[in-house]
Amino acid sequence: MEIEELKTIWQQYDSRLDHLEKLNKKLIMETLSKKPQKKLNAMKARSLFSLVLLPFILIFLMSLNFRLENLDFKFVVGSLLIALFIAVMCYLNFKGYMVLKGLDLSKDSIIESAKKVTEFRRLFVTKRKFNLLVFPLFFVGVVLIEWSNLHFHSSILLVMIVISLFSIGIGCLDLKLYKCKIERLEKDIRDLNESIE
Amino acid sequence: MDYQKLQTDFIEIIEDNKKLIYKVSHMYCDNADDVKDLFQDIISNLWIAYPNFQQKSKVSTWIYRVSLNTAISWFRDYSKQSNKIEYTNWIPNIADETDRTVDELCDQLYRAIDTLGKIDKAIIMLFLDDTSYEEIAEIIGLTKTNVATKISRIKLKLKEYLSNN
Repeated sequence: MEIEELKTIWQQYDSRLDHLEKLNKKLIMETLSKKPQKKLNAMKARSLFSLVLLPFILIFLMSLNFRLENLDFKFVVGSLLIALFIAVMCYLNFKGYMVLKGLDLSKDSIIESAKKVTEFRRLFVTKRKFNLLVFPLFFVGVVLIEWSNLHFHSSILLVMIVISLFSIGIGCLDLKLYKCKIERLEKDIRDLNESIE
Repeated sequence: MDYQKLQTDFIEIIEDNKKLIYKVSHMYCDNADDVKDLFQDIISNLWIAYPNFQQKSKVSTWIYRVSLNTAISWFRDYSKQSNKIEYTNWIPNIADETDRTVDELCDQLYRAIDTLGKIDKAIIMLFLDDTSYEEIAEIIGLTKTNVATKISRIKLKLKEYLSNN
């Protein structure tokens, strides 16, 4: 089939679309009032929440046990681990938020949009990877901070083992989804690079 | 401009360009529900951008840009995407028996286009819609020369796919 034939088919398809029904104005009005950039706004809100509120919540929870008598080596190491976790999370969330904020569907060219979306997805994947790798350190940090309050009864140890196993299980499941996401992202990056070449 | 007038003008613009929005939605989705969702998202995004539309470019260029950007940056759960291809269901149910060949050819064309990357899909759609190279370059964000090169490469890819299938 030659390209001219494709054009002819496309024109036939186009002329058949002339018979589309008139759009229902009432439905359009409902769409306008109900779905203003729903998905994008939800993502921006989530991103802003992780950027602003999450560190506050973590710092608040940490501060509950902040007493002078607790200040020992374990507490300091625990605090550093948690601070490291919060700092990297904040950095990644900030970058993600800035990418979403900079997305302007009416002004950006298709390539610009695709680059921003790819960058956002790349950050999302990095965050997942970071969570999988660093979350155990965060967990250790919490245990170290709370060390003075922990009484290692067998029941507490059991609960900690169950939580750890549960986290590992979720991590393994997440890894499968994560691999799919990476494959799709890599394909899109290849497409994008091909388009820019 | 008062709100009522803004709405009326907007609906008129959408009505005049609905074919274009349908085509973009169909190009980037592979089942009827997703097509509907994307169509609605495009209209929402157009409505949000409409008050700032300064008519510096053609209305169709602006609609193409918002529609394609929405389709490409459409954030959704990719794991829910189905691989089932239902191209014929996208075409409005207005065909009689004599249109069957057109349906088949449209299927073939869509299958061929579906093998392309997201940006190549946008370029070929604009090309098939007889958009000028300048306009394609403006919408996509490439130079005119790059657009010409891309189009010849895409034509080759499509030709190869169609001759093998």
